[in-house]
Amino acid sequence: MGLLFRYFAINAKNQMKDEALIQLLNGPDRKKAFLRLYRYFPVIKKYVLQNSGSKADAEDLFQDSILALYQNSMKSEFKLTSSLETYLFSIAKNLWLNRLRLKAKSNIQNTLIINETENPSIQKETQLTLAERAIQLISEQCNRILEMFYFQKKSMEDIAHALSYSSVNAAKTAKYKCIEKAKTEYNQLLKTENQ
Amino acid sequence: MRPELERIEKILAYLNNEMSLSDQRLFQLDMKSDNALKNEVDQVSTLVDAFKNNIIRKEIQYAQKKYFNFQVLKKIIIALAIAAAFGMTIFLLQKTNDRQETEKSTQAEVTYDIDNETSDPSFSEQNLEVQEFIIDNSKTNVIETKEGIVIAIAPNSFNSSQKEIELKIKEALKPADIIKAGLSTTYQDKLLETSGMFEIRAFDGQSELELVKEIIAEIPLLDEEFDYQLFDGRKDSLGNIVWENPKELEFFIETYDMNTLNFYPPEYEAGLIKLGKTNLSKAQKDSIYFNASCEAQSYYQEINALNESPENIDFYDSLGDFNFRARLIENTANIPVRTDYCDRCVQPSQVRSFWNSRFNNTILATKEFEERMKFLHQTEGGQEVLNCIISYFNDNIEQIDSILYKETAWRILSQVKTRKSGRVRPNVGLNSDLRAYYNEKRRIFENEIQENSKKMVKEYQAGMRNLASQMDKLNSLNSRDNVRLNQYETNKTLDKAYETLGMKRRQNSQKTNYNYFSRVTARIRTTGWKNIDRVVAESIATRESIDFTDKKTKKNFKLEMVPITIDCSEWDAQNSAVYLMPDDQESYLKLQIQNGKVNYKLNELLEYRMIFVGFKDNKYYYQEIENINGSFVRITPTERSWAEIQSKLNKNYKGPLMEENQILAQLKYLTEKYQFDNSQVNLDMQFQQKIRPYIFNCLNLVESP
Repeated sequence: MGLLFRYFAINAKNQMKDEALIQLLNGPDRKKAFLRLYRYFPVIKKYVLQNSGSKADAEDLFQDSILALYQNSMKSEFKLTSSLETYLFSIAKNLWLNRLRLKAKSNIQNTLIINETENPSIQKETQLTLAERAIQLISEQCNRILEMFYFQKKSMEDIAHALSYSSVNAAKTAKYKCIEKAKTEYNQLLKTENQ
Repeated sequence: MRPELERIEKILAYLNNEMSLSDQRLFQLDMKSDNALKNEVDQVSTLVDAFKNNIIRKEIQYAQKKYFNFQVLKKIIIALAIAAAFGMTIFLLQKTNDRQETEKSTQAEVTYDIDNETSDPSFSEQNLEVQEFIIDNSKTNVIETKEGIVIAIAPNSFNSSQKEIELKIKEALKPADIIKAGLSTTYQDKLLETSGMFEIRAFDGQSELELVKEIIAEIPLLDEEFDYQLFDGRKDSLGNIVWENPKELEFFIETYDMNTLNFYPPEYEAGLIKLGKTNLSKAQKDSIYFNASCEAQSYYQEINALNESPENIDFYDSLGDFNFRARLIENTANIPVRTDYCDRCVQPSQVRSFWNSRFNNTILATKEFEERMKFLHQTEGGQEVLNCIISYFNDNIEQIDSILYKETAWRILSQVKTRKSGRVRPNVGLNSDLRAYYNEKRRIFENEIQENSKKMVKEYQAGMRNLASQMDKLNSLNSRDNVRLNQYETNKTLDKAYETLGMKRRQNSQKTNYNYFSRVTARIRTTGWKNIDRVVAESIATRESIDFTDKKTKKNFKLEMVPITIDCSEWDAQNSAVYLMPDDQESYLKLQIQNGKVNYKLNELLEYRMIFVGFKDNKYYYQEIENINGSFVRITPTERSWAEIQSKLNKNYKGPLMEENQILAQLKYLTEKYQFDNSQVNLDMQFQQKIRPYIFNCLNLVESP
């Protein structure tokens, strides 16, 4: 029986590798998964360098690829059909080709850029980028509230207690004010972008 | 709060799915008609997404930084290794030249110790401190080095006849020490990422000893993220250390006293607090947990549903709920009671079988297993998986994980910290005696739970049956009184009607038995000629006033049905009752209380006495109003003893035997129901019912409290 288990365990371990990493990614220890994913960085770096990109581009691209992988893996319909390395590489490749395409178009004709910005998915991505910038402008306290709420899944009671608010309502109001502040910053950025 | 903030609150509630379904729909309709609101929702949603992205991006950036730091460290080590090798080559060349020159000049013989001379003194293991330990070779020794390596040495691990031997240990765990010692970090020309190196040597006097038994060393790791291996270092002819024979490292798992570990289902203790059971001792918690069972689950649920929605009960029985409930119990008593609801969750009897000191020092007595149990409790089929684990594994967490992997398709392992391998210290494990003990105890505990549960159900059913039979009696008294009252009211009204209309009442109509229950079907569907008897019967049934003119004689009979409202809203309808006693003093009419009020129409020909009885906190309340005729009465009863109420009722009652008095029967029923509701068996049953979802939660029926 011991031998059987050992055999089974070894066999299972090989199957588990990618799947385990995905599970780790979706769990509370996702930071460890991010670190482990960096083992694939050299391949992607090589690809970017061979395709008219710089080392900084490769680092940016790899971050975005991991982010995309993370977002995809959180979807219920997500299923890994190839090896994780292949999957991550294909994400990176697509992202990079898109970037090259945009860059090329912007070099050729400015009007094309205008057309691109009318494309809803590009528009959404631009909005998200601006929103990310807006979020960076809110206070540290706001970041703490939102992180505890959205990532640590803490109740507003716990948040009020941890951040020393006088009451749950005070913490809630603070949260709404944070969103309001982010909204103002975001609208300001949108306005500047459209000018 | 400002209106803008209120708007954000609403939007967040919508986006976080915190709205009820109906509110959600309304909000969606609002969005359809209000473009500004829709845009605002989109904006807030984008901001929330952006916030989440920002956090994740920060974490990725942190991982990137950590990754690059490792890369840099690798490069430094390579650079220093090259520098050391370069330095060493020059040093060797110089030495050789010197030696040649010396040989040439002096022709004298020089002995040369490679071990001592080939290393660059600035990067030499000689730079490392030697830590010396004197140990007794005949005993078990555990030593700890300055950098925290813990070494466990079994008796006679070294081939020495002497008792006292000397251990010399060098260690280089920090990158600076590794570099200082000039230790290579390559294996077969590949760069090793190292968590450190150490050297163990043993001496008795001058001679070096060999290791004849395995010793165990626990080494602090630089970072648990990476897979480490243990290499043996061998010095080559140049004195460099060559690393070879890589072996997987094992992680030994600490065992704890079973009493300090917690194998309750994760929601159980919070559930107890939620149900008001705070400050329970471990023994009390154990008692509740170990006695929980899946028995009789299905019909408890049905009864519970009935208790929660009395409208279902009314549908079956307008006179009371209890006889229906009791009949339900009778009917379901023979139904197989175990259900899938909790059968496949981890059973308390299983946990009880291993959660004791006999299993100390086994893999079950570890934090790692404690962590896995939490998830087993939440896994459908956890019962079978736990049995499988206890039947087949030995002392290795890896084996447990492979079972969990197979049986739970990753649900569990994804959430616990998996390790390449890890076992409790050798020579403990789980021997067959303990397995047999587990299986035997499990069987005994299961039977015990079933027996306890059956006993409790039996006692509970007996209580319910008693109440049901009393309710049946009450219902029959109620119908008897209703028939009697109906006859009295009909006769009195008919007498008056015939007298007014100048008619002679037929003998047989006096004997007519107007059944109280037939009234709901007595509807007037035709106009035209009607028999006066029928008009009266209809009026009594529908409580409508009569205005009847005989077509032949043109004589008119009028009867007023006077509306009355009795307000008893301060009383629970389940524990109070309002009765009317007509002037014949032979029967009572129990009135229906609806929404804290009684609405009835009094026959102007009769005089009524109103009686209210209530039961609250094991005390009786009574109020009596003679000759009631007002249109609105508010109930203001006073507390009375049973004897006082009995004597008051006795004074005015001329009906059948006093013990067949409907009001007394009602009070007796309420008293016994109160006693049953507060009986230990009922309280236990109710509590078990409530705590059960927290214990058998492998289908995720309750959210974490």
